[in-house]
Amino acid sequence: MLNSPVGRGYPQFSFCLGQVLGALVTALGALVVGSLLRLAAPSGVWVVLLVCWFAVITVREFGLLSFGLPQNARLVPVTVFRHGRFFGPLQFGLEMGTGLRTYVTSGLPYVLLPAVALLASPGAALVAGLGFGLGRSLMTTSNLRFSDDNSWDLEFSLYERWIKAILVMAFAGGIFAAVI
Amino acid sequence: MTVGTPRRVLWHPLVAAALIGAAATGGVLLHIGAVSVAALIGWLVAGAAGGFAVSGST
Repeated sequence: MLNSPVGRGYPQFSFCLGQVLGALVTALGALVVGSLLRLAAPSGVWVVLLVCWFAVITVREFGLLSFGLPQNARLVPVTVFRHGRFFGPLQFGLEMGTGLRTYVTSGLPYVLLPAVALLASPGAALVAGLGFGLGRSLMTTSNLRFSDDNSWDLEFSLYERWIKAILVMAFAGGIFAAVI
Repeated sequence: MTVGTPRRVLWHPLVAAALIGAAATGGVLLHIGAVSVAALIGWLVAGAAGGFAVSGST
């Protein structure tokens, strides 16, 4: 992805902007669907179910359990950049930000999405979407700033277990502060 | 971290994850202190953790 025309300067900015916008679209979509689903049970039931689901995902994150999750298992074609240096990365970022365009390499979004759908207020859903987009943008930004040879990905792989552990704990803390 | 130049330390993925972790800790502390913005910080951090977690290669 980062060998693509999403370089420094405004293509990077428009890509990150697109990621935030895409995440907001998904958050609002989840909120609309969830507003119907949450009528089926009181919020306490959803909290308990989500905590159980998060426990399962946490075990999966550390490779102790293996099962597939639904994802759009294909790469993004380079033709996404046909709209130029601003709108090309913007569209690409928007598609990536939705989380529905390509592979999803972590289980955490699969907990975040139902949490937003079933427990978040409209404002909270927007904030969660903003956070997701900023989290993805943090990856893009730190990757590009770290080096010119994509060695950031290698560092990520080297420290993946630590990074996963920190993010799982951060996610748990965030959800705790948000809904419990 | 293999090379310790400031740029490579500052933008290291572990540092980014630690930043999110620190924000989560702040959110939890604010929640314990019954500060009203704690919930929004919690949603923001949960979103950021979810977003950054998908940085790994397929």
